[in-house]
Amino acid sequence: MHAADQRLVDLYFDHGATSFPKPETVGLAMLGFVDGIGGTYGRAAYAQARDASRTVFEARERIARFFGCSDSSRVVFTLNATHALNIAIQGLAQEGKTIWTTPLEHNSVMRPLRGLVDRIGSRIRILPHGPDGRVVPEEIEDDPDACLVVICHQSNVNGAIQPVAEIAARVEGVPFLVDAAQSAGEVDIDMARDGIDLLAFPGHKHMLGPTGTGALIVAGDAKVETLMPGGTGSLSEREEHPAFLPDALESGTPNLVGIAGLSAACKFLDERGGAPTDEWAVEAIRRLREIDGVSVLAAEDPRWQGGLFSFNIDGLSPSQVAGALFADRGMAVRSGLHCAPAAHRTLGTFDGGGAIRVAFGRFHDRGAVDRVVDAVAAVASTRP
Amino acid sequence: MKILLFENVHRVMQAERALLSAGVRCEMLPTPKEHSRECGMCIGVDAADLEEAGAVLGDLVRGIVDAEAGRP
Repeated sequence: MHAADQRLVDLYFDHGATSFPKPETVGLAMLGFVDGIGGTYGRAAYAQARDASRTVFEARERIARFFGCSDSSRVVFTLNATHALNIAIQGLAQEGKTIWTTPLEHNSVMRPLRGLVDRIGSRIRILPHGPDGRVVPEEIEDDPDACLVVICHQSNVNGAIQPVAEIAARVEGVPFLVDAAQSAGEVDIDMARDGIDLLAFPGHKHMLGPTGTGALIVAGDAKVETLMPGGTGSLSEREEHPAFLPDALESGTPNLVGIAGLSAACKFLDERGGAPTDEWAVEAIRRLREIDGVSVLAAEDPRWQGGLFSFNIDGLSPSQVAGALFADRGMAVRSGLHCAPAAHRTLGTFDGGGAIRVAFGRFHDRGAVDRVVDAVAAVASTRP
Repeated sequence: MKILLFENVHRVMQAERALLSAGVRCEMLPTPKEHSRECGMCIGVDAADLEEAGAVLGDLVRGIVDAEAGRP
């Protein structure tokens, strides 16, 4: 299923940053595009352009189906989730209006929001939530000034999964944007079932595709202003940017090689499914909490736990722990603030320099839990 | 031959798949220059198949024109 060195696979726990390895078919699809197709998307009708255009069309179709969107023209390819989030946030914000969000957001949301506060007087408000940052939907109140609700589906710090459908039901009428950076490919998402208007996701994390890929799916009828007008291969005689999707939000030649890889990755997930990373995380969290000196950042209710969590060891800094795990075991984890200072403030780990994150991946097995617990216990035994 | 025009390349791809699924012969072509305000790609069908193509594609089609003079 993959062509990577199994030892590297076993020791890689940074799937929250990017997944490793990729299915073998991903690389083959990319090579097949480079060597066998190579044409541009649209804009011409020679055989290579037709094949390239079909590749992109099939990718849109596959992704739309995967996320429960009935119209594939609403899948807009982007560079990554940050790009997709910026298109949606900046394209929907209204001067002086309120944007609601969660206390667990990544900077891919918080930085665009802060910029809007400075530029157009947007107001940021945090949805009611519990101590682990999970939103309490029944406490959400109507807000006639709201122009957008944006939530991080699965925290990239404690792995808590938000109750998306319940939140959607409470904010009906306001564009509802879900940041699926950590959940796409790992948590079942159906935009129609869950009431999601806009979904932003990266191709390279749990979707198992290459870096430089992602998408914004605009399922609702919200009018999103483009961040980047330009050539689309349509309405070519006009200097006004088209209003129809996907062209409206997708200017310039897309990452065709990457899209070929992402499509293969999505096909892999369609056919073979994911892995029970959430179950592994719950087991690892339970066992780590039994180790003296170890504290864990996780969802309060294990039913809402995703496949990643973070932890700390008393008396050692996060960077010391991550350094020891790599030096002693060759284990790849990520320490620090995870580009999510808001989440670390909420969880009380900001001042201490954050935490160490463990994220399980598609090509792990249950043995990965033992490797994590054994390694952390060994480092904890050395604490002063 | 008749030329079917579409809003953008995505709709061209969607139309090609629908036509092939319905068993209607079609060919992807560069859009004739006098209609290049639309998408750079279009679909050609035999005049005899036009009615069936129209039934398959419905609102997807933005325009129908004759193939350029001199083209078979």
